[in-house]
Amino acid sequence: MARYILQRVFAAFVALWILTTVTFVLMHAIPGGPFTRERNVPEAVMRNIEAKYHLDDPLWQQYLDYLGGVVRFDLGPSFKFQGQTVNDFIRRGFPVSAELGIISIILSMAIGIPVGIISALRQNKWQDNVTMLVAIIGVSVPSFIIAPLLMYVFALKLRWLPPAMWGSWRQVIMPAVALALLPLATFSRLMRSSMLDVISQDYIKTARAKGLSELAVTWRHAVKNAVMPIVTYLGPLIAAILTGTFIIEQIFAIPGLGRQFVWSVNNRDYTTILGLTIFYGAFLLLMNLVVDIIYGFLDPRIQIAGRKD
Amino acid sequence: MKAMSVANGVNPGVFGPVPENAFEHVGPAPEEQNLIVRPPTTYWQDAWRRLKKNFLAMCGLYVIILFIALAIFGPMLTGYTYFGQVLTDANKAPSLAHWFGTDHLGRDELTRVLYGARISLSIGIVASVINLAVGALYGGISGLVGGRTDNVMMRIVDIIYGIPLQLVVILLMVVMGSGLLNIYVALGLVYWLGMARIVRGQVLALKEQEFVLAARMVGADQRRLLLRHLIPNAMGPIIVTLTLSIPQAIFTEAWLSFIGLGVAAPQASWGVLASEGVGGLRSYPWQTFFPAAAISLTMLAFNFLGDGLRDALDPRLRR
Repeated sequence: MARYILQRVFAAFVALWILTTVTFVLMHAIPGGPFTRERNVPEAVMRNIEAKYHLDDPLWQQYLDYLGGVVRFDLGPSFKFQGQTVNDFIRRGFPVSAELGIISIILSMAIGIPVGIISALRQNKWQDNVTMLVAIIGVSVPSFIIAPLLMYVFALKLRWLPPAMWGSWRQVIMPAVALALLPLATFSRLMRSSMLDVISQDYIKTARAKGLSELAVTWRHAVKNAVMPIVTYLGPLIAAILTGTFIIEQIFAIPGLGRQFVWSVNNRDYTTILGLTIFYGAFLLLMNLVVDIIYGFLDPRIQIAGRKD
Repeated sequence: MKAMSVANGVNPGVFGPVPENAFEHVGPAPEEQNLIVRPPTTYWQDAWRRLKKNFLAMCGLYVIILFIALAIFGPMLTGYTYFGQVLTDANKAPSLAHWFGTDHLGRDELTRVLYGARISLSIGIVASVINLAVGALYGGISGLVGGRTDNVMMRIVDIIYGIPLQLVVILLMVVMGSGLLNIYVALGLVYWLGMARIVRGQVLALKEQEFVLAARMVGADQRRLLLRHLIPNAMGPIIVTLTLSIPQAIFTEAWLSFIGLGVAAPQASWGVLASEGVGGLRSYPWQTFFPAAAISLTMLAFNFLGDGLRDALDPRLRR
């Protein structure tokens, strides 16, 4: 088990290093420096600015400095917001995005998994057909299409919910639902097929044969085993929610990190793009690591495979 | 009873030898038994037959064909151009003159949605074909060569898999600048990992089969083996992955447009149109509604078709 975890941690660090390097190289591959687009500045001023941001250092020096900064979790200053650092943005925006994301994840699991179970237990009956049709629609319609639709119906026409901004619980509902819809549909599809796998196994027949009630068979033997494969979806789920927040926060004017990121992309605030990309990358790699380790503990077969390596 | 024990040779002494003509053939003639009544079906005919029975998948296929036809011929038939501005007609609601209304510069929304179909569908298809080329080659070589090469190549894939690819796409678009060609390249170069894994798995399973041995025996080199024998035989799963990666590319492009990294104006994909419309949602909802419906319908159609193809090409997976 320790070996398995070590392997995963190592792979995550390599991935983060590659991401940092690729980001750094790409950002420096842009023709001209970050300040060349400004109005004509005297040569001396330009040199001063470059010295301030260490842009006159040789490239390898900048690269090593940057790597050192990443290790110390110092992502540098923003080029466009005077006196602000990327860390400031994260400190301000991330809690908001995290709150929205966690609510969406809970929402999608709390509805998606039971729907999948019911669908599997009623396989090919109308309950199953209807939920699977709705689920494939949920998988197909992107959150940034759902969001304006929800806004139009519930905020602008019915006036039940506030159309935008952040603060009260009523303002959380629409963005959370828009974000949760895709993972909800995916959860129910995965849970259904996983349940169908499990209930055709022999040990389910054994459990029935020894006289357990239908509820005990479903709950203790089927659901418990069927939930396991779902855990692997948590990694992609967190990634989907995170990239979803970029747009959802924009549409609902939520002051989260996603909106900040899109703002920096649109304003070509290169250091912020660089820093936030690495932050997001590190965050997702960490989440994947956690999911992998949880899965390793849940599924004894993985430990055996790890030992064989 | 008598004849049986004789035929089995139990007790020939008592009943004597069996005459030659003691038995008569009463069933269908041997040549009739071997007659092939139904025409032989190939793997693909069989898959097509199964696909035709799948109502939703066929709906998806027809919608896709319809949309492709509309994308090719539609913009010529509306009588407007996608860039022609009539500022006095700005933000008009849908009417007989403008079926889908007009946008904030008085451009005909129907023409722009049809023209957007060209861009969005071409992005989906071109990006997926690049994925196919890169992924099938990478996975194919990895699986065919095997051993240490395979190990290293797949470790690389595992590590890249850990990197959040959508961030890489954003970075590439920021660096290369927005534009149709750059979107093809960015999406095509980033999303080939899944294809590589699937092709490798297929090649690993196929390369131990006799037809590969036969091909090797008549002198096929690795290149011919991969391109002529292994990849064509792995076509089923490749097509399914390809079909399901097209909506993914269309989705990613639309998502990029909302971030502000879509195609450059005056060109507009469905994503650009929808994201432009959101700003005026309160007053001009149709500017969001039509492109949004187009994106959703297309993704739905491709997902239905992809699911159906998977069932048709590999019936063992069907539930």
